Amino acid sequence: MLDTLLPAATLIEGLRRRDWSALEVVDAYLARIEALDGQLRAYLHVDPEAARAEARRWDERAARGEPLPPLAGIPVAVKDNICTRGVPTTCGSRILEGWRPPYDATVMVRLRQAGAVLLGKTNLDEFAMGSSTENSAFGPTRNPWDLSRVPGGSSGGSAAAVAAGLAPWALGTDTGGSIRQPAALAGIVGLKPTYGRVSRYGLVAYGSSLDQIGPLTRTVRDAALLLQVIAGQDPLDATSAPVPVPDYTAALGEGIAGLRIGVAREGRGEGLQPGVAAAVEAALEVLAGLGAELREVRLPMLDYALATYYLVATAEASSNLARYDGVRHGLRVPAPDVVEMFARTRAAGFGAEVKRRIMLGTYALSSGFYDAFYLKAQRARTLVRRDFEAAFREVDLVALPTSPTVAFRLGERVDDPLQMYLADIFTVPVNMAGLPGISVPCGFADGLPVGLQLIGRPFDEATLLRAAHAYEQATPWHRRAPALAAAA
Amino acid sequence: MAIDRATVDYVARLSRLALSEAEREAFTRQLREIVDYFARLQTLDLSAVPPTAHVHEGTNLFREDIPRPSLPRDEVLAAAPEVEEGFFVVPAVLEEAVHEPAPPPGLEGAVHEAAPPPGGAAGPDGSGEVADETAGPPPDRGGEGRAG
Repeated sequence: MLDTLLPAATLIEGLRRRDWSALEVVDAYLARIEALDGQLRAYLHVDPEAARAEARRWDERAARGEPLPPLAGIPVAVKDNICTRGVPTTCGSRILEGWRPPYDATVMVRLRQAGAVLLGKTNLDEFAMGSSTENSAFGPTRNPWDLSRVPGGSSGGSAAAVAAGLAPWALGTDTGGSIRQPAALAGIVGLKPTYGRVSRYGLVAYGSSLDQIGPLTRTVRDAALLLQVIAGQDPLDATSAPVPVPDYTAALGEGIAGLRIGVAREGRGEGLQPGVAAAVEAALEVLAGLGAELREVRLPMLDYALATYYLVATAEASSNLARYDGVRHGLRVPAPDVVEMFARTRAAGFGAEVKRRIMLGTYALSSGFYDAFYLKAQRARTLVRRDFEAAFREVDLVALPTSPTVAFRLGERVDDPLQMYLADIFTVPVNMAGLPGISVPCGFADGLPVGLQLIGRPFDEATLLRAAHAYEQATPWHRRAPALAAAA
Repeated sequence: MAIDRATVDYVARLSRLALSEAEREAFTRQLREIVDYFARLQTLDLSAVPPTAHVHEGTNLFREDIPRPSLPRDEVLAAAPEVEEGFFVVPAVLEEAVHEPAPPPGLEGAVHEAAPPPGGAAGPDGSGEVADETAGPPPDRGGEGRAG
């Protein structure tokens, strides 16, 4: 049967050459899901018959010689906070259990137009709030490199599915690192596009000024291909930007001679595991060997970025999640009057982390604390942006570790929210500044994957992809895969 | 100001969350620890720094104001817990005063409603598609138990 660890680009070529049919491809992934997802729990919803029917349709069109769109018959997994028409979209929450959106997110419309076949919906921390996928109401996803460890989060289902060959690629979402961090912990590529690059229409909102949808893939080329399909302005999202979308694969192979990469000493601080530090330093050496010029830059706001992020993100979350009230969709817990109905519905429907963030955000926005917390965080956010603006006057990219640690054990941090938040220390500044960031595998520490994060100028995903591709092609990491066997 | 039980109860009421005893206990401890961590922002002099609500602020995007079909009403209503004659049905709405939480001691003078963050209410999850979608729990309408 077809090797499900092939890059999507290889699947596309094979389909064009008729080496395999779309149905064979989909069947290979469905078989792999059947064999392994009992252990991993990467998926919340898989509809094999729907996926097979779509694949057959593309095979029939190919047989008739019809012109085919770029991803015709290629399966994709989608994080379960992205609306899929008629297909359950739970956000990993009891409050939306059973809800079937009456419309597709814009990214889904674009994927379908490009011919992609929806393989299933992937697990996540409830409403994308978390760094381990343990906050899903439907149980945690496990890391394919070590089943006793978390895959990162919140796009942990997408990351685990791609890393273990349960999907060729997937969409995730990133508000404070939720694509890049699980990509790093699962040993794959994760790209958070510039804020405004990809439409958020149909993405269930968490932090509206921070959220972006992006690809999780086995290779940088695949990330470029998937971004190509989903990028671009959308009249249904007023924050999507009218910036032309370049051909992301065109310049991938041009190399990085003369490219200036900023290295921040703040990225070498406390809390960084020695094995992660060593892998990232070695990666910088590789980049220098490929002709990049490494320069020291300063990111003095890094010490404040996490506090700033958790104030801004929770404030926006408390407002966005006010709509789950038992009136229009999802769960309702009956009560004699309407306010009690809201309170009981939300108490029963939300998990602990979502409640904590709603409480934090409500607190930060409440009169008396608004100036001391929320407004202060918005001002600090300006300083985070200025750090990067200053850096990008000197360099073309900034390098940081993606995560300060490798994958941690399930249960290790669930009772210590602040420790869990520290997993995002190197990723949140990128969302605060609205910049594009990519995590690319850069080695192993204690047998677990480490990610290198590269950060680019607004809307310059092309340079980011070019540098990540050059690094990837010079190193063996992307060819490694976790050893997983079907349970006996 | 440190978070205590009274603050947690007050914020829970504002948040429309009926917390259990165990949750009140845990959140008091956890939120105190997190808010203490946030206090590091107080060491920054930010008086001359303008706030950022949004990284693309200052650019207004317009599109043609052309009518287009909205979502089919039946499909939208089919997802609701209770409907009647094309309306969402909610339990009786009692007078507002009963539910307005009082701020805990030390917070007198605090306004009772949380202010929405700019942009925070604009999440494109279809919220504009249904006539009655708003960011907050729907304002109590008084009188009949219907919100349409």
